[in-house]
Amino acid sequence: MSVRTKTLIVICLTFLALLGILYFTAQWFLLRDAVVTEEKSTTRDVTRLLAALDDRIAVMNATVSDWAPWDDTYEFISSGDTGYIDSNLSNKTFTDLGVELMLFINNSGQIVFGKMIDLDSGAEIPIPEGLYSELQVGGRLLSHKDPSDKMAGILSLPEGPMIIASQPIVTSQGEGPIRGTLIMGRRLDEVEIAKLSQITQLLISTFPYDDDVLPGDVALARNSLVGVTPIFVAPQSETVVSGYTLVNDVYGNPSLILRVDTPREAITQARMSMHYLGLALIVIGIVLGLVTMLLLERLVINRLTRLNSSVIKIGSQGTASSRLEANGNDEIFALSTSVNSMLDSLENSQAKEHESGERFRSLYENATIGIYRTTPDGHILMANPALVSLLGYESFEGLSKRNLAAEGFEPEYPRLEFQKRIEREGEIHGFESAWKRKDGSIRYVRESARLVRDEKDQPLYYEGTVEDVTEKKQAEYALQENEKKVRRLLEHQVAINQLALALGESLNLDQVYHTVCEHIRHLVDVWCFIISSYDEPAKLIRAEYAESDQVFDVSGFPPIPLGEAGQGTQSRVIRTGQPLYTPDHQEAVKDSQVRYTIEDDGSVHEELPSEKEKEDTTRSIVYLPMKIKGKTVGVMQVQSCKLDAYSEEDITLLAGMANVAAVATQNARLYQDVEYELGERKRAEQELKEYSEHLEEMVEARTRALQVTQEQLVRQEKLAVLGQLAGGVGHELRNPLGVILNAIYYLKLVQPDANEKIKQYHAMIEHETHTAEKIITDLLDFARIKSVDREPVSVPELIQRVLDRYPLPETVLAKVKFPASLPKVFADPRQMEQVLGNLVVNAYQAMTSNGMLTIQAVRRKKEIAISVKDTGVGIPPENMSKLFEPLFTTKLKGIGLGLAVSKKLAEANGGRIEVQSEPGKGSTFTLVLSVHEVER
Amino acid sequence: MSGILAILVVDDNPSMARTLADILDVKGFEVHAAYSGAEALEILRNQRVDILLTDVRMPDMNGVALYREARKTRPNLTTVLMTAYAADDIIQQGIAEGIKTVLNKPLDMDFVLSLFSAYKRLIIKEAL
Repeated sequence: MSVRTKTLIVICLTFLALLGILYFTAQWFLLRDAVVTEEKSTTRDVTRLLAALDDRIAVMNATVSDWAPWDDTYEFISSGDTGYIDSNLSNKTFTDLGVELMLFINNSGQIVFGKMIDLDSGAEIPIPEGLYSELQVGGRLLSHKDPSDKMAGILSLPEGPMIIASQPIVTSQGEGPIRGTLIMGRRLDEVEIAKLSQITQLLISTFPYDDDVLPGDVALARNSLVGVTPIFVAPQSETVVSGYTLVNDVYGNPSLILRVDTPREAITQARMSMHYLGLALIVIGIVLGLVTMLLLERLVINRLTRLNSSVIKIGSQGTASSRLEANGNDEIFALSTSVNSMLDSLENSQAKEHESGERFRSLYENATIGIYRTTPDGHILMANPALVSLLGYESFEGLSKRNLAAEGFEPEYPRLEFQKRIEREGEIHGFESAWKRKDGSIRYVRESARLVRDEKDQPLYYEGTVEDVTEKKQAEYALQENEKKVRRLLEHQVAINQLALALGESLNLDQVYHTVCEHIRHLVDVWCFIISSYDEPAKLIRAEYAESDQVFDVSGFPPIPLGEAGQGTQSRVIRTGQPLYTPDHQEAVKDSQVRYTIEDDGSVHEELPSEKEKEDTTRSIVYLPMKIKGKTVGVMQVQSCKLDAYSEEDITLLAGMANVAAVATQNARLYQDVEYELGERKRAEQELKEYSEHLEEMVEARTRALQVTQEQLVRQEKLAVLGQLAGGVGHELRNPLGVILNAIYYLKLVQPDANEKIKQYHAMIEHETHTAEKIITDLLDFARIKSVDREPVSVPELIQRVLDRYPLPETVLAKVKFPASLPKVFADPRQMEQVLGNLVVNAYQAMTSNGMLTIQAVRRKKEIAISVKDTGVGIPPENMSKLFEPLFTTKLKGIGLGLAVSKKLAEANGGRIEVQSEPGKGSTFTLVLSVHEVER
Repeated sequence: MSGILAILVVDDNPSMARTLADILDVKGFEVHAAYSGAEALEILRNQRVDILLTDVRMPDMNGVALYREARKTRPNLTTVLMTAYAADDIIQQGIAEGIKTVLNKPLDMDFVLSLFSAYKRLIIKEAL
């Protein structure tokens, strides 16, 4: 329901209710007043009528008073003189007096004269019969006590009521004795009533009191009038009200009921007023209603409708840039203004949203990691440029044609596992896999994604990020490979070492060969093991030892002459001194596999080797030179039934073992020779012992060297990865830092009078940016040792430069000690300044309160040791091993590269850093450098 | 020779070029800024430039290539390189071919300003 209809209904209802209340209240008051007024006025009218009637009676009485006390009349009553009658009692006298009846009665009740005249016609009419019965002697009419006793009133007669006056006839002086009675009267007939009506201006009706057939209202009034109420008022009809009263006759008995009918003017007036009031109220109501509606329409509804359509328009445009038209200063204006200010803030927030959207878009577009959104069935919905280029596509359109479910990034991308995990856990972090690019090359990636579900909890899409970790993977892989290689080398060395130790205790040749064979069996698959020796002077190769599942006697095998270059496998090994490997011997010699059998009858059978035989046949052979001091003294063959049984590393290992075997063989052979020549036995033993010792020493030294190499390799690889990362990031950061420093320089330049706080902030930005730059420089230094430019450097000068560059804090005292003549060191002066500076700054920082810094340079043989000693907090033992590790720090500030860089620089300059520390007492860092060659 | 040194600052990072130009401007130099080698050459063709201060690594043309190109028309142009990368073969070549100085980023502005003041004296002396 619209406001208009609602208002209309409310106004109508309110108005109707008001109208009703007002109308009925007014009616009640008005009508009540009118009824009272009416009653009063009617009562007054009736009173007036009664007064008029009394007046008539009084007039009649007065007339009688003129006649009765008169000497003529006094005479006449006694004499009956006709002259009196003639002169005084003509008909004209009657009409002049307005009297219809005159009765002269003497004391004996005899009517001396009686006459009745009809006043209208002037003719004589008979005296009513009923009157005679009233004229009894002693009756009230005829008995007067004294001359002044008068009587007047109404007399009810059967012929109708009459106004009667009766007085005693006395002398003109009013003296008796009373000679008779004079009665005058007239009928209270219609004429008289009309006269009364005329006098009173009232409509009068009379009714005999004891009439049996009175009209209803009169009968009712008669009953009411019986009591004490002198006047009874009752409405006759809508327009007429009647007043009733009772008139008593001369005897005091009720004789007549008088009724006065008056128009009900008060009531009618009240009714009319009510009608006019009602009409006026309706008119006022309509006018008020119309004015209200008009105002409502003009001031509210129209403007609201306009406002609404404007708001709808703005809503349909979908932008918050339009505004509502606003004028006036009322509530609707306030509403428009509020809507406008709401639109303002909406526009504002839209703009902000847009701006933040732009920012996010830029982030998305320029991110260096891939960002994507895909559907569970494998459609690529979004992929940022980094991901598109990661996968080798020109544009997103190209990439989006790829379906992950159908094609995926297989072969190595485990999409099913990915889907299973993400749908179970909702998120995946650091999922590593390999993706195939457009050109088919493989990238290793690290993927993090989350699942987005719709309202029904169904998977909607996956959103995630992808990081290319190929370089890292490759570095890791290289590192692992390297470690494996080093470990294998070490294992090999251990195996060789063990073999050497085992052989050291054996001087029997066959024992030596068997031991070698057993050791080799522990390491690789051996089907057959053969050793041949090379007799160089004779240029003959002799089989020395053969072992398969048993040891063969090879004494019967003929020696083979050393073949020409390119001939014979063993010959080739002896000539080149290099191992030779045949991974598939069967393939190499398949043409000579056929065997021929000559039967007794002379027939020849061709016989191919059986499957069993083939299985038990040599497939891989490796020939290894047995060398002593670079000379090949024999060949060791290791054979396997497996195809390509030996790896390159196996061969390297076997080659090492062959050399150990060569030495042992030679020893054993020498020993054997010595046994025949007793005189030389001791020398041989000695020689053997020396060899053994030499061998052990050699092996131990080599093991140590290898361990060191391995550690170095591992560390260098780790550092290389870190360096690669740091180097890449560091350079790129220098540009933005440069801009920040320039900007702050500019600000300081153009605002020399800036307030103190701004200056402090400038200094803060500048200082922190320098700190950032220092970190980057450390990182870069660590990542890449600048080329080392070594030259002779004076140590005292170096120390002085460092102390100049890093001035002592106020709380620290310094002591510098060095001998008078100190040779120069051979190192890069700038790098050494950096290293020493680093040690000095560390020392300053270690001494939180007062302390003593001691820098001492001493010569140690071919080296100079520059020690930096502080009296600071010292280093806990558990931290000693980590001191030089990159990223290890106990300082609140700094990233822990200082000592790592220093160590690297020292080592790059052929030196090292040593450290001693006692917690609570202080630390001593010593930079050890080589003395310059010339001065050694 | 007006006595005011004209410096052309070239860096593909607009913020870098702008901040440098603004500082030099405040310090009383006549400054031109360019955001690429091509832009720099355009300015060199139309404006008086006493010192060329250029970044080394830029997308269209590196600083040394810019120097070589500029030298064709302005053989005596004083050229200073700035770089965030300490070791760069290009820089070594540039120095061999006559580039005055290489400054490492972030620049030490006090040093740069004293350097340019020194150049100013030199250049004025030469002009005389």
